[in-house]
Amino acid sequence: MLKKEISDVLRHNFFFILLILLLPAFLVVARILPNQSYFSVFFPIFQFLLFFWAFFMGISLFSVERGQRGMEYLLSLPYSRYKLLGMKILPRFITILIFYVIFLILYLGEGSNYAAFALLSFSVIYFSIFLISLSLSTCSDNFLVLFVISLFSLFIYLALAYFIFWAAIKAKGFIYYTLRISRFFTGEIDTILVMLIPIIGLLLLLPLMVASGLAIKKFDLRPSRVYNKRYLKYFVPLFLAGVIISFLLAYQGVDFGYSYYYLTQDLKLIEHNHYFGFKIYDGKDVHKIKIQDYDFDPFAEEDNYVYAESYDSILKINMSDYEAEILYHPPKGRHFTWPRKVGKTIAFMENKRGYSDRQLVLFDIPTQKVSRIPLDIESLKGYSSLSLFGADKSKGKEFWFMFAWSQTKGRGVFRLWEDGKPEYIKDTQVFPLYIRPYLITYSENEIVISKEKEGQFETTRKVPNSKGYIFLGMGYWPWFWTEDLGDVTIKEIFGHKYRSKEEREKGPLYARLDLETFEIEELSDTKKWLYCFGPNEYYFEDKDYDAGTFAIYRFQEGRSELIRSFRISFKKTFYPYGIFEGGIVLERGKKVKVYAFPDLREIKFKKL
Amino acid sequence: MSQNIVDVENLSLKIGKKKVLNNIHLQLRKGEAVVIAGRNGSGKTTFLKCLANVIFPDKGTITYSEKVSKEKIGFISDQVSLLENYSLKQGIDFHKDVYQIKDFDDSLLRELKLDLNQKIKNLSAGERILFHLSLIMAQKPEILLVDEIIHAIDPYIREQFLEAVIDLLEGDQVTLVMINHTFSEIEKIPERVLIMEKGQFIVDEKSEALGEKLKKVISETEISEEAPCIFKRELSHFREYYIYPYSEELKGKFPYDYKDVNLNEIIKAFIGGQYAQKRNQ
Repeated sequence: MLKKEISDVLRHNFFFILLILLLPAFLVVARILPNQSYFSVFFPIFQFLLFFWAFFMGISLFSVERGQRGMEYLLSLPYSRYKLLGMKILPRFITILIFYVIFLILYLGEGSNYAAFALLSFSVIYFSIFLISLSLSTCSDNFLVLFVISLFSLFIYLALAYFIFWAAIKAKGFIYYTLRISRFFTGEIDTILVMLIPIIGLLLLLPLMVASGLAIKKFDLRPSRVYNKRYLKYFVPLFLAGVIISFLLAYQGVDFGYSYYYLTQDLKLIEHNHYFGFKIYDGKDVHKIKIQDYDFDPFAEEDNYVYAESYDSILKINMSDYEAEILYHPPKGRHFTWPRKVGKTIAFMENKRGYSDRQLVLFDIPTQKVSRIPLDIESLKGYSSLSLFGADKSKGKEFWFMFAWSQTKGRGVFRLWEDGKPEYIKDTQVFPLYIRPYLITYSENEIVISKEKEGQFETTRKVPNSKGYIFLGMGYWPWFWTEDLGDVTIKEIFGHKYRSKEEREKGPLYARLDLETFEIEELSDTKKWLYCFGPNEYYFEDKDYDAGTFAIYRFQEGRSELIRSFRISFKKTFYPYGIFEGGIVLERGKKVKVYAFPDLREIKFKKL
Repeated sequence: MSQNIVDVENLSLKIGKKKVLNNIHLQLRKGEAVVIAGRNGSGKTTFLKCLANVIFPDKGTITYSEKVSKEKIGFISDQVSLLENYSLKQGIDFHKDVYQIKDFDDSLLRELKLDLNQKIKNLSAGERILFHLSLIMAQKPEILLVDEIIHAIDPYIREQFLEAVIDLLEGDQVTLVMINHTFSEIEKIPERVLIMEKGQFIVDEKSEALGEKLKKVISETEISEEAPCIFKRELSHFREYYIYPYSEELKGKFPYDYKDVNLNEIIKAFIGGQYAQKRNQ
């Protein structure tokens, strides 16, 4: 019997192979598709016909016997239905596999970067067609009816699979994720969906296959409706179960991915996820802001507003009425970096792709007026990097400090006036700092302190710095804008220097620069990373990956005092927490906890 | 005493709303020759197909003796289902492979002078039946199921077929279950007669016993309504009454001239009676 089946399948395959080889040849030779190579015509035809062949292999299970009026003879043979089915399916399945392997070899040989996603989709459809048509092959004696039913079932199956994903995404609260069909072929879908596709595809196919397997045990010569009734008796409950389980799996599996948290100075928690926008927890409630953006990097807070940089826009979030607006969006083809707020102005560098047409952009918040100062001018030519690091006024005119870097011209400080004229100030070996009234630059082994006198920055002091400490601000990170300090006088700043490669994990060495005596004092009682949130607000963070702990210390008058330590897992990410001016946000698995400075007491947020 | 070779218990089957087989109980012994008769649509063929494993019942069981393997069940029907595009040789090879037959006796085929390279679909109905029978005979079946093939074949092939069947029956080698409508040529074959009506066996008797229990009365006048008449036929000048069950006591009560009838007429009487009943409903 198996020999007969193999012979039947081989005979069918012979004609199929002839068709796929000769049809492209005909199209090329007859110049129906002129100027095409044989393979370029052959491959898409082959790919398309494979779907048809998978379908045919499935529904042709009993076609030979039906065509030869041999069904009664076949069913009277001394085999159980399962054995009969097995002998029929085996050669057909092997055929499908062999053609699939041939397709893989030809397809992957093309070397397309998107092969993986289109291939996954093709594979799902290819094997689904086979399994669906196989499962339905006994539902009718009429080949045409089988063809229509199978095609219809395939359509329902694919639509249902798509709908389940769509429903799970919607039920989960995704707002900004669209499930376009093209995503399945172009690789735009997320990894988790890619993994779920074959699982859910199989779950939806299983009812068909299991119902067939159960119903075929009593497959006989009675009218198809008898078999179909038995088939449906098994299929309907299995199908419903399959749909429910698939939905639950999709719902569980579809993940928002990573959310970014930000704790404001007044202890409100902002959660950003590019699938649902923003959620703001005020302790009692959660407020949703539906605004889509792919990134969220706050850079300023003032008067109940949070200003943040996104992937391609600047956002302003109103923390009173929980509204958000896009303040600025660069023109098409332009890209900006590192916006900073100074008073009512947001300043940032912007350029075209390829780092051309550089400009200093000044966005006036109240009027939303945009001013642009071109930077591709003669005096700035040749500097491949221009970075803002300070702003101030002199004689009533605004200016902006820029650190300019060039491989040929070296590194230096420019002052860019509000009228667009750049003024070269001095060289610096390392990224400089401006803390009114001092401009801090670096020479070979010295820190150069300059001060403006009659419109010029003159060196007032050179501080020996043989160990090479770098003072980037009032702490290791971030540096800040002078004007935001108001009338506060900064008396000290902290610098760091990296240890040797072997000791790098201990964290940097720290030193203090007194801005009255200009003496550098190396610090001993330090921990790994220094944070500064304002004058006299210094904290050290000390983490131990192996032990799964991190601790926060207050740093005052040269001493580190432990505030609190936490146990945390670093397995999934090295940054399971964020340190903000208001406190710390800690992520433990699916849970988020918030601890507020100064004592890091836990604060609860409802609905978090 | 022969053991049961087939046990049928509570067999029921429905097609749509129609109950085709209705709670059938039956035991068949080794070497028994059984004929099943009944009017069209009574369920005979369906029952035979259940025995052949071609159709599955909804309820009930069919249990074969442990000594009977599936390869030893031969089934041949008037639909003569074979793989038509095969040549005779291919058909023989296929059958030999499936039933693990070592030797194939092609004497019947040689009798008909059939070319082994011709396709099965090119055979006449009678030739196909004999070809199929050759295949089944090669299996050396222990159970032979035959469904209404006699009427489809010419007298010569019919004779060949019946001789082959009789050969098999000799020495209790095979249990035969045969569905037939005409019994003139096979009267001597069946030892047991089953008559089916509405999916049930309404008669299950030995042939001889049935001949004793069913008699015919020919009368010009009406006979008593109390006489157990299963079928009445009105001819031009007289009537025929078929009395069942007949007994000596009945003769005493209804003193008519009772005549013996052959198996063919017995079956007709039962079937005719079923049609008459249906008309009267």
